Order: sequence, then structure tokens, then C-alpha cells
Amino acid sequence: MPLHRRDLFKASGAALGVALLEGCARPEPVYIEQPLERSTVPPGASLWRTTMCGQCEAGCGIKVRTVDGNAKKIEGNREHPTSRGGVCALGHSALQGLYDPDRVTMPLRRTSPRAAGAASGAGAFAPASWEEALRAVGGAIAAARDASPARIAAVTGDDGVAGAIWSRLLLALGAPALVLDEPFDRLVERSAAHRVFGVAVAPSYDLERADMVLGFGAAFLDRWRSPVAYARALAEMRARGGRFVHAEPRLSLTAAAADLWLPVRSGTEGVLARALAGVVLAAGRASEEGAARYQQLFPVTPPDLETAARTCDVALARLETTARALLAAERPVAVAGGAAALSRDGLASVAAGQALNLLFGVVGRPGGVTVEGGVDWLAALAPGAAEPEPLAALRRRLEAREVDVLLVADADPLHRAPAGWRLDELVRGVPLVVAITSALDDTALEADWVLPAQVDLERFVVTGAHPAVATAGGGPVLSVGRAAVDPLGEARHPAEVALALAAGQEQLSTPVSWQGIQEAVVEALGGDTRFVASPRESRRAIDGGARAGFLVAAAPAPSAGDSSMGGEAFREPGGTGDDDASQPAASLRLVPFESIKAGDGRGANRPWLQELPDPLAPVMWASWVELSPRDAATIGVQTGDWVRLRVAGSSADAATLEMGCIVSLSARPGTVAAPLGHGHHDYGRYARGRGANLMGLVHDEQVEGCDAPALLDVRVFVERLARPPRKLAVYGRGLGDSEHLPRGWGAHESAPPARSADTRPAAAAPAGTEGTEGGSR
Amino acid sequence: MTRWGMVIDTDRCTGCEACVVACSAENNVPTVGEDDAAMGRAMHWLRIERVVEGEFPDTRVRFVPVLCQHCGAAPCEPVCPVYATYHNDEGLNAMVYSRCVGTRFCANNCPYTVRTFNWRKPAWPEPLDRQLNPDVSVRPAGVMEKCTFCVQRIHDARHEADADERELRDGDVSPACAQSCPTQAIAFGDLADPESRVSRLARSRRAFQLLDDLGTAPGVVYRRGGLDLEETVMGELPLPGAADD
Amino acid sequence: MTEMAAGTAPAHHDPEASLLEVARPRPLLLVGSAVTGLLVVLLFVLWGYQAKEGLGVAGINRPVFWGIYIVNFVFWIGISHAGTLISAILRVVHAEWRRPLTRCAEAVTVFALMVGGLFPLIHMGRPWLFYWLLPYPNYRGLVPNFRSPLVWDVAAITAYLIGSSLYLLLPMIPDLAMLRDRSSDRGGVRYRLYRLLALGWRGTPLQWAALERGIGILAVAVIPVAVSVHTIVSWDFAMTMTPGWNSTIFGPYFVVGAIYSGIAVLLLAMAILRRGLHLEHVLTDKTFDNLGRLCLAMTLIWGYFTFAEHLTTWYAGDAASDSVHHALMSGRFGNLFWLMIFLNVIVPFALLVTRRGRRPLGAAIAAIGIVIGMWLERLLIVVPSLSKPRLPGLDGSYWPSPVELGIMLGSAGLFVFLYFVFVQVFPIVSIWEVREGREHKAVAAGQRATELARAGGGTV
Ligand SMILES: Nc1nc2c(c(=O)[nH]1)N[C@H]1C(S)=C(S)[C@@H](COP(=O)(O)OP(=O)(O)OC[C@H]3O[C@@H](n4cnc5c(=O)[nH]c(N)nc54)[C@H](O)[C@@H]3O)O[C@H]1N2
Ligand SMILES: Nc1nc2c(c(=O)[nH]1)N[C@H]1C(S)=C(S)[C@@H](COP(=O)(O)OP(=O)(O)OC[C@H]3O[C@@H](n4cnc5c(=O)[nH]c(N)nc54)[C@H](O)[C@@H]3O)O[C@H]1N2
Ligand code: SF4
Ligand code: SF4
Ligand code: SF4
Ligand code: SF4
Ligand code: SF4
Repeated sequence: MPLHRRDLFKASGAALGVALLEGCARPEPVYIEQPLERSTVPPGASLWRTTMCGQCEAGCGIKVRTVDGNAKKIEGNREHPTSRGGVCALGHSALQGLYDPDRVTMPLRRTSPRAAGAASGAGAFAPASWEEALRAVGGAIAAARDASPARIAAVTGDDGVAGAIWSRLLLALGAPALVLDEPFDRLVERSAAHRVFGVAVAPSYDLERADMVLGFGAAFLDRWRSPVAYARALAEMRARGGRFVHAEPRLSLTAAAADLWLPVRSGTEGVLARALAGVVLAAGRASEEGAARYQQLFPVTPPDLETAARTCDVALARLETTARALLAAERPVAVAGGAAALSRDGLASVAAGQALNLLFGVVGRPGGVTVEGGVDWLAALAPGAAEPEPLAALRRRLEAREVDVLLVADADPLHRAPAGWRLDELVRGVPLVVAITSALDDTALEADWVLPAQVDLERFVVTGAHPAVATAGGGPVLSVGRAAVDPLGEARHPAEVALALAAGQEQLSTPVSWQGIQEAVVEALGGDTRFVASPRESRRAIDGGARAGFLVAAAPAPSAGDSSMGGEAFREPGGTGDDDASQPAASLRLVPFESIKAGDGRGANRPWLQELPDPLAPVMWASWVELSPRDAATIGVQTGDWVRLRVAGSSADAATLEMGCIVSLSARPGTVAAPLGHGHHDYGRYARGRGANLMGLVHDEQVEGCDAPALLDVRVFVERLARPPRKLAVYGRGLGDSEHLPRGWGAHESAPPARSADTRPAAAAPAGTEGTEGGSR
Repeated sequence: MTRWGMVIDTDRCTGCEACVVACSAENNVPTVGEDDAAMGRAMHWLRIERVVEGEFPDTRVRFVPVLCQHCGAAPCEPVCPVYATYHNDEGLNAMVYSRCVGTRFCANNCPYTVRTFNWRKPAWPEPLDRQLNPDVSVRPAGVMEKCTFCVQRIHDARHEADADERELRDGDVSPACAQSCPTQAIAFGDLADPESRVSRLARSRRAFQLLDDLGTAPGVVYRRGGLDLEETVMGELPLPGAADD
Repeated sequence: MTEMAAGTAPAHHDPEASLLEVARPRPLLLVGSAVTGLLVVLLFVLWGYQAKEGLGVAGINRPVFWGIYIVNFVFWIGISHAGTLISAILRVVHAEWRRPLTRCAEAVTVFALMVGGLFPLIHMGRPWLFYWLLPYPNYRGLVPNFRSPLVWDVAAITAYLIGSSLYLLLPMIPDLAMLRDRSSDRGGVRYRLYRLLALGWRGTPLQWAALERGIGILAVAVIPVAVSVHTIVSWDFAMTMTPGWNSTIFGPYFVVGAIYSGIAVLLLAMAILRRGLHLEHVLTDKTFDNLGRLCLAMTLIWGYFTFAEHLTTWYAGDAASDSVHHALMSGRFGNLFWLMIFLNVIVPFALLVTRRGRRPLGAAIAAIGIVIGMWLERLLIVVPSLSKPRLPGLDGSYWPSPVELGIMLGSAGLFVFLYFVFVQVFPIVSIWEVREGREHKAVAAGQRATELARAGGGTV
């Protein structure tokens, strides 16, 4: 393009003009809307709404500050018995989920065909009305119901009231069971607990009143089950002199907080738990009853500490220290899950961890483990409905081409499922896909209809099937709260969509007709005598609960489970999957984890979380891999470089991901750790294309005996990217390069008091005794 | 006379960064986006410093939340040419945003590097702006900012106390970071009152201050490295280091 | 009045008359002015863009809050010491060889100050509020913080700019009068300009006496002002508790560096003017030799200061300063540091120590090295200290953005532009002073001849 002098003048003139006149420009007039109805709250005044955080299953008690109907701030509810005033980073960020500029605020109808690589994002959709949407979806359901109701599928991540209402709808339609998109490790945990304690709920732990906590893979200070409550409980336990030993392949926040970190090889937590059981049994510290139940579950003689040290690749001295501390403890408790659950051996590993509590005799005791469900929403609201099935069941139905209508609410299976399941392709084969969601997540991008869902701050909320267990009071705690703000746009509660869809169906076998969520809650709670004396009391109880933010069960003692149930023996955990000899050379073992930044992926659309430097690998606005200095040197990368991960052992078209790299002093050589929950295709401007979704590397690895993928059994090749896509945003100096430490900062430095060394002992091991994971490089 | 201060127990802190997000939410701290963040322009008023020592498997990590120390002898103050950052009579190092001309001299002279600068006009695309705290001004481009000890909450608490015709009580003021901390690692109060919680916590043998040898007289006290209780519940845990040897 | 009246000597045979011819437009200079004028436009367009977008368009960040704007500020203020200080000192000590170079040097001072003074404004987050640093009366009783070195800066630089402008203008009066009187176009702009600035100079003995006295007072007064200016600039750093900045040596170190870079720019300017304006007969090899010697002395003094500064830091070895020191010597800034030493010590020493090296070409090469080296020195003072904060978690890196580099280029353009324009309007060599020098010499020679004649008994 020829550039004329005149253009140049124009251009520079324009630049100057813009610069000079910007301040003088007359802004568009802004008309301030005056509310028609007089509110009782004076304009500008703060109104604190007590409710529950719905960002994760923990259901912490919160108070939301609203001014003129806008949510301003989330604070912890100090009265709440488990969270006790704490809120986590993800909980705070709910505000930005609520006010995401790219939120779905009205029904969207797909306008361009669904196909791989087709137009995606908001561009593929056109706005529609709720009537249109409900008519279209309701019509499709009716048609499917007439033809073959088995071809209707519904997926949700809500195991509470909403899940029960969906189940009721499916039941009435004659469709198969609801698919519950729950955390994979919780599925494993529940399965293990079912056999260990006889109850299929994820156990709760009373860390505060224990005097020693043994962690097996469960990063309960990071993002596992109930991080706020556990963080507080652990802090109180340790302030009283309790000890915390944690086994996990990666140095998570939880491992960092431990008195002693046992950096076990992935998937060997079970072996460690078994060896410690052997120590307890040999010392005669277990009750007869406990020992009997334990031996029923694990009939084989436990391995000794030396074997465990070898299998786990941890210094024997460290295990011996752990064993000594364990024998000295009066009320130890073992917490198992998380990383331990998601290797091929996960079920047995978690069970071995859980079962230690049988030996400690702390099941159902203060300072121990509790296995008690909350309100049985399903039984109360959808009597006769089948138990929800895991996500893998949906995969099987889709593979068998058995689904014509797929309803997804409060879940993003396409983001969370392993790429090897090919859910995206399978879903593309379903004639009608409906996503009820507040943001354009990966599942919504494949949907024909995207219906705007309220976020939890806009909903009546109540804890699901996994209630928090109070550390002090004993019984389960139900968090409950009313909407803090009016819904944005036309967003609706997904369960109300279910009710609306039910209302549109002719002659349902069972009516699905509550006036709203709250009515369903009143009905369900009325039947639970732990919380309400009689059904008539229910409404008042809930009103009171919603004012306080919680309801505490009157049940005196935490449940010890049901020893008459389960009890089927587990296969001996063996630390599978790391037979190095059979591994492709130069591959590293993937260690996926949930970070405080993205959680399971829902946090990705919040600028606060995107810009939050991870506390251990301070990356912002991207996902990353953590490499040990040794592996980094071999690959030839430094902190800030970019790498490509390629699944090892598979064909040339194997999945690859590109991520920034952090060289971490704490990383186990032979492993490559990376956070989950990144790499959304859309999910709004703050998440779009940020980082990479680790599930893209997971193929068909399965947890043995459980319908969950074995994320920790993936091996990858890591290579340096010669041309980084962009600069990796690393906060400050990155990890592990403390050139000079100010006075009093050194971890080994015993600053003021004489006893300083023993809370944070130096975990030194004789050089050479601890090898590396795989040693395959 | 009040002297607002804070005590942070690093033995309690797990590095969960709830406090960091709480602070941003309370104080309208903007996010800057990936490119600027990569240049070191993230604006958090509070950061979690990591102290990492030792290589696998002997790595120890300690987290130290670092915010403005509200120094009694604040090096940031005398260098400001326009008195935009000054000391108030309750021990706060305060900022008058509208007076700041953006020389960034104060930031250079803060030994804790806690001051952040608005390199660009902050943006909250609608409806994110609905979350903004009306009690805290949004700072324009070219202006310095930093932790205020949530001064708006101090004012609120005082107004409430005045309305109830009483004095401020210990615990009436809780900054956003302290409020949200799941482990209650952060305590806030009047260091001039020997009976206040912070004063009691600060008298611990475990107490220390960051870079106190510089003479900045910080208003933040840290605690670390030991137990106050002489008797532990379960007796002595043999030192792993010793056992390993 | 005849035109001769303005000068000091009868115009029968006037070797300096050709110098008047210098002050006129020339094709090459016009082209140069146009090119540099474009750079000036670039400077202001980029500055406008930055003012609109915020300082985000620069590369500065946390913790490197100060970048090349401050580097350039210190650098140009340093350059400004070329003139006034050198010419004043030489005047005060009656160094005869100063005569042809004073004007050239004083102009460097004024323009370098103008450019340097711009940078704190460019550097500010909200430059339109710069006047808040001034103690102007206002009903709210707000005053600037006189404890802040930045306010001292404002005072010092303002004083220096006024002082050095006067110091440039005052000795120019007789030359301006000459130009005024020789002007053929009485209605033209030039004539009016000369007339205005000549302040009615008639060359009366009374006026001469007043001029001499004025120059004498200014020359003495401007020396402490100049010294204080760069001392105060150094205090922007030395008054802080930032590792690597808090150093007692910074005042004299900065002054020495300033004079050093000033001399270098002066040598460079002289070399260029000598070639460009054919001033070989005025700016002689002797002038270069003398200034080269002075420059060599500064090389040694600067090298000594640098050595002393880093030796003491290294020896004391306190952790915070040590990490800055380490970054400078062998860390991230190591290459730049040793390049600076090469350019500031090795090259100038090797060249200037020999008589051949002090000829215009050698001196110009040394000067280019010193100018770059001294810019690096400013950079290495500003950036490394900031990039190594005391607490371990933050770490800084800094790379100037295109906007910063563009503004820097524009500022150099502004300096050269001002100089080019000046040269085309004003005599770049002080005509009357050169003439006075020649006459003094002649008189002295005459006296010596007379004395010799007397002593020798009329052999001449
Ligand atoms: N910093 C600073 N503070 C000041 C002053 C100052 O000069 N500087 N001036 C002081 C003085 S003199 C005054 S009078 C006060 C004024 O203080 P305010 O009374 O707070 O004045 P405004 O902000 O103009 O308007 C208050 C609100 O009224 C709403 N409003 C407009 N029309 C209507 C209506 O018809 N009905 C209702 N219900 N609301 C409406 C507007 O949207 C706005 O939100 O401020 C005082 N405070
Ligand atoms: N665009 C617009 N116009 C408005 C309003 C608005 O909101 N927007 N608000 C209206 C309202 S509510 C009001 S009250 C008026 C206010 O209108 P004004 O009364 O004009 O108020 P100010 O602009 O504050 O100007 C007061 C002047 O008093 C001077 N001053 C300050 N202290 C003293 C003192 O002790 N003695 C003397 N003699 N002078 C002093 C100040 O320097 C200032 O110049 O504006 C009205 N006009
Ligand atoms: S732990 Fe879960 S429920 Fe509690 S505040 Fe965090 S996200 Fe919310
Ligand atoms: S919220 Fe508390 S525990 Fe979490 S990082 Fe902040 S101070 Fe530490
Ligand atoms: S910590 Fe920094 S910003 Fe805060 S008062 Fe001290 S010197 Fe000033
Ligand atoms: S940046 Fe603002 S507050 Fe800081 S010194 Fe400059 S004017 Fe003062
Ligand atoms: S005291 Fe307030 S402003 Fe300071 S860090 Fe805490 S939350 Fe942020």
C-alpha cells in the first residue's frame, strides 16, 4: 500500500488529536435507572446476606455484602461450625463468576452446525426466549419419551436437591438413572468407604481433636473436600502440639504444611498405609474388633517398612520416624484420597488409608473419621429412582449410541472427562444437547441449546449429599442460604428448568411439581429427623437455618458407619504402574493436581484467580508444568521456558499440550506435575484458550475396580518448545531461587525460641538413599 | 492513642492465598492481564512470599504473607514530593490517591516492595464493575497504591462504635485478609493497647519483624518457628533429621 | 554609529569576521534540522500516546519502577555540565585556550538541561500535575514536601537552567550586537531577534565593564550551582535506603561523571563543528589537546571513584548490597558493566594518554565511547539496584519498550535540533573573546618584543 505524505500527516495529526482531545470529549450521557419499587434498604447501605458458598462441595458458611442489589464482597460466616469464618480464594472469586462479562444471561440457540472445528464460541449461537427454548427442548423430550425414554440422559454435578429433582424427572419420564459428574477421586473414596465403613459417602475427618494426622494423597489444604474447614482444624491441632505427616508425590500446599513430607512415588500411598498398619498391628495397638475388620479387608500380611520404603522410594528413616510418632500418638487419624485415589491402584490405596482408622479405633469418635451422609435427597424427593451413575456410564451409553436427548446442568463433562473417552465426538452424535450453565463451558460449546443458569449467589442453596461434619458439635452440618442477589438477565435455577420441563410434559407417571427449590427442600428435610423433629417443623427449621446459614443435626455422635455392610477384601495395593523397565525411555510420569487457582476448572473465568500467582509455582494466566532441576537440565529448559507434553507410548498422532515450565526444587525427578482445570475452549474472555487441559493427555487408564480414570498413570515425553507462544507470566522470582534470606527467614534457622526446630524439622536424609521416580531419564 | 498493627503467624499460614483474593475484592485492586502480569505489574496489595530451601526430597517451604508494614519510620514517606503518602496519627501509612503525581519514588524506597503502581487505567468490563466496593476509591492510571490496613473498615467500625456511644473494642476491626484467612493466621488490632490480642501475640518469643534491622519500625509482627505450649499432647516427636542421621 | 563601534577592534584587518558568517543557514544544517525536527515530533507524539495510555506502554514495572527515563534524565543533566561548569572553571582560572570553546560548551549546557529537564515530566504518572511540585500559593495551603529530594531537584534544575541560560546569553551580547549591526534586512526576523537579545549593546566602556563584571560573577556563581545540581540528582538515589544507592560517594561521583560525560559531548560537538563549519583555524589541535588532557584526568578520577565504590560494597558484603553487586559484576548485568568499564576507562585512557590520540579524531572516538559508557553507567546505577529487592520473593527484569526507546531517540533529536538551529542563528564561537585573546596575545607579544628590545638594546 503506498503511503502518501498526506496520510502520514493525517496519522500523526490523529494521534496528537486523540491524545489531546481525549480529555475534552463529551461523554455519552448516562441515564441512571431509578428503581420503581421502594426497597426497604436505603440506597448505598450495606446489606449482609447470610448464605452458603456453592463453589465446591464443602459448602462453607458465608455472608455476602450487597449494596443496591449488587454483590460486593464475600466474607466467612464466623458462626458457621465448620468453616468458622474462613473463605478460600475460589470462594471469594464467586463474585467474578457472578459478574463475568461473558456470562450466559439468556437462552442461546445454536445457529451453525455442530462439528469439530466448526464455528465455536458465542458466535455459533443466537439469543432466544425461554418459551422457545422450553418448547423446543420439551418437545424433543416428549418425542424421545414416546419413542424410547431410555434415550434420554441427564448429567449434573449437583448431588443435592437439584440432582434429586433431575432424578425425579428422569424417573417420571422412564429414563435411565441420572449421571453424576462428581470429582473422580471422590468416586473412588466413596467406593472405598462403602467397603471399609459400609457407607458409600466420602468420610469426614475431625482433624482438630486428633493429635496426629496422617495424610495419604489427600491435599486437604489445597482443594480437597473441605479445604477451609480442614485448614482451620489442622491449625488448631498443631497449635496444641499435634503432628502432621503427609504422603504425596508432589509437594502440595498440604505437603508443605506437614511436619514431615513423605514424597512417595505416585500410586504407592497404599503400600505405605499397609506398612504402617503392620506397625500398629505388631505393636498390639489396635482393638480386636478393629483388627478383625481390618484383616477382613486386607487379609494378606502387611509389608514391612523396608519394603514400603523401597516401593514408595522414600528414605526408610523417614518411615521409621513416622511409625514412632504414630505409636506415640493417642488419637491419630488417617486421611486418604486425592492423588492416592487416581492411580490404577487407587481404590485399594485409599481403602488402605481409610482402614487405618479402624486400627486406630477412631471411627465415629471425636478426633477421628465420620461416615455420615446428609439429607438423603434422592430417597426423599425421588423415591424409587436409581442411584446416580458415574460419568463413565454416560460414555458407555454414548458409545452405544443410546442417547437422543442429553441434558447437562451444573456440570462440564466435556472439560473434565479424559480426552481418550472422546466425549466431544460422541456428544456431537447426539441429536439434541442442552447445557444449562452460567458460562460457555466446553460442554455448552457442543450444545444445541445453552440455557442460562443462576450461579449459587443467585440461588437458594443447601448442602448436597456430603454434608460438612462439625468438629465440635458432632452431627452433620447442613449449610443453607437464600439468594444473595437477583439473578442476572434471565438466568434460572437448573432445577427449576427441570420443573418447567416436567410441567410441559403430559401425564407423567409421577408428578414433579414443587413450587420451587425451597419447597422441595422443605419436603425432603421434613423426613429427616436428625434435623427436624417433625415434617411440620420443616419450614420453620429451614427459615431459621437460612437466617443462620446452617442447620446442625441433633444426632449426638458422628456415625461409625455400618460394619455389617461391605467388608469385601481389597486386592493388596502394590504400587502399580511404575514398572520402570517397561516404560518408554525418557518419559516422565504425569502428576495432575487441583490448584487453588482453577479448582476443577470453574475458577478459570475469574481474573482474580487467573492473576493469582500459584503459591508454589507462581504462574499467572496460564497453566504450567513443574519439573525437577535434573529433568529440566536434561530437557534443556529453565523456569519461564515452554515445553510440549506428548503422551508416551502412543502413536504418532498422540495428544500434545503446550505449557510454560517452572523448575521446582521440590519436584520429584522423573515426574512432571501440572494443574487441572485450565485450557477451556471458551468459558468467557478470561478463560478462553488459557493454559492447557491436562485431561487431553489422559487416555483409557482406569482405576481398578472403579469407574474413574487413573490420571496419575499417564507418562509423557517432555520437550522444549523452540518458539514459545508468549511470555510466561511468572510472579517475581519463581520457585526455589532464594539468593539471600533476610534474618529469621531460613527454614533451618532457629529464630527466637529454643523449641523452634521441632515444628518445622529439617527433613534431611542420608544422601543417596532416595532415588528418583522411574529413574528413566 | 491507637497504633494499628497486625500479627501474622507463619506457622499457621498454609499459603492458600485466600487473603490475597479477599484483599483485591475489598479494595478494588485491579487485575492487569497476562502481558502486564508477565512484566511484573500485577497489583496485589498482599503477596505470599515463598521461602524454599533444599532440593527434593528435603525441600522445606515456608509462606510469609507480605503487605505494607505500616512502618513507624516509613522510608516511603519523606521521599514523596507532594505528601501523597503520609503517616496518620493512628500509625497508618496512608495514601492520598488524588494527590499522587506518580513519581514512584516511594516504591523505590520501600524496602518491602509492597507498593504497586497503576501502569494503565484499570478496567472492570461490565458487569464486573458491579462488584466494586463503594467505600474504596478506584485509582486512576499513574497513581501509586498499596495496602491501607483496610482503613475504610476502621472508619466503619468507629462510626458504629460512635453510633452505639462506646469506645472501639479489640476485635471490632478486621481487615479483609484477616477476616477470610481459613487458619486465622492474621490478627489485627491496636498495638498501643497492651491488653489487645495483637499485643499479646506480639509479645511471644516467636515474634519477629521483617527487616527490622533497617529501623523501619514495622507495624506488622510475624510469628514463627515453635510452639507456645510447653507440653505437647503426645510428647516428643523424634526429630526426623536426627533419626535420619 | 558605525558597525565597527560594536566590536572592540578596528575592522581594517579582522580575522574573526569570517566567524560571523558561520551563523547562517546552510543546506546540510537545514537537512539536519529537518530530520531532527521529525524526531522531535516523534518525541511529542509518543509522549502524548503515553500520557493517554498510561506508563504501561513503557517497560518499567515492579520492582524496576524507574527505567531509562530516569537514566536519560541523569545522563542529560550530566551532559549539561559540559558547558557551564567547564567554561566557568576555565574562565575563572583564566585558561586562555578556553576562548574558542566556551560558547559551544554553554550551548550544550542549556540544551542538555532542557532535554534532561523534560524527562522527569515524561517519567511521571500524571505529568499534567507537575506544578504540584512547585510551592505556589493556594487557598488550601498545600506545599510540596521539602524533605523530598525530588523537590530539591526541581529547585536545583530550575536554578541551573536560569543560571546557565544567562551564562550563555550574557557573553553573547557583543556578538549579537555585531550581528545586529551587520544585518542588512532591518525589518527581518533575525534583525529583530538580534536587536532584542543584544539589549542595546553599544560597546561603551561602561557596558564593557558591566559585562566583564557580570560574566565574572556568573562564572563564579554557576560553579556551585552546577556542582549542587548533580549532587542533588545523585541524592535522588543516595538518600534512599535502596541497596547500591545509599552511598556517601554518590554526590561527588555524579559530579565527576557529569563533568566527564560533559567534556566528552563537548569534544564530540567540537570535532563535528570543526569539520562541518571549517573552524580548523579556531578549534585548533591545541584546543583538543588541552581538553583531551582534562578529559584524561576525568577518566582517571571517574575510574578511581568507580573502583572505590564497588570495592567498599564488595568488602562490606552485606547481603542486600551484595546481591546487587553480584548482579553487576558477574550476574545479569555483568556484560553491560564490563562494557562500561571498557568504554569509560580503557578506550579513553588508551587514546587520550598519547598526544596523537588527543587529536580531533582520537578525541572524538574516545568521546563516543565515553558518552555511551556514561549512559550505561546511569543505567547500571538505576536498574540493578531496583531489580534486586531485599525480600527474596520479587525479582526484577527490565527492558525498555519501543515507546521508551522512541522517546529517547526523540530526546537526542531534540538536543541536536536545538543545537543545529542555534548554530544557524548564533555564532557558535565567541567572536569577541577569540579576538580579545588574539589581541591579548598580540599585546603580550608586543610587550615581550619591547621588553626584549629594551633588554637586548635594540636588536629588533
Ligand atoms: N467531596 C465533596 N463532597 C461534598 C460536596 C463537595 O463539594 N465535595 N458538597 C456537599 C454539598 S454542598 C451537598 S448539597 C452534598 C450533596 O450530596 P448528595 O445529596 O449525595 O448529592 P448527589 O450526589 O448530587 O445526589 C444524591 C443521589 O440522588 C440521586 N437522585 C437524583 N434525583 C433523584 C430523585 O429524584 N429521587 C431520588 N430518590 N434520588 C435522586 C442521584 O442519583 C444520587 O445518587 O454533597 C456534599 N458533599
Ligand atoms: N454542576 C453542578 N453544579 C452545582 C452542583 C452540582 O452538584 N453540580 N451543586 C449545587 C450545590 S448543592 C451547591 S451547595 C453549590 C455550591 O456552589 P459554590 O458555593 O460555588 O461552592 P464551591 O464550588 O465549593 O465554591 C466555594 C468557594 O468558596 C471558597 N472558599 C472556601 N472556603 C472559604 C472561606 O472560608 N471563606 C470564603 N470567603 N470563601 C471560601 C472556595 O475557594 C470556593 O471558591 O453548587 C451548586 N451547583
Ligand atoms: S472451600 Fe469450597 S465452599 Fe468453602 S469457601 Fe472454598 S469454594 Fe467455597
Ligand atoms: S489466608 Fe491465611 S493461610 Fe491463607 S495465605 Fe493468607 S495468611 Fe496464609
Ligand atoms: S512497608 Fe513500604 S509502603 Fe509500607 S510504610 Fe513501610 S516503607 Fe512505606
Ligand atoms: S508515586 Fe505518588 S505517592 Fe509515591 S512518591 Fe510519587 S507522588 Fe508520592
Ligand atoms: S489489611 Fe486490608 S488492604 Fe491490607 S492487605 Fe489486608 S486486606 Fe489488603
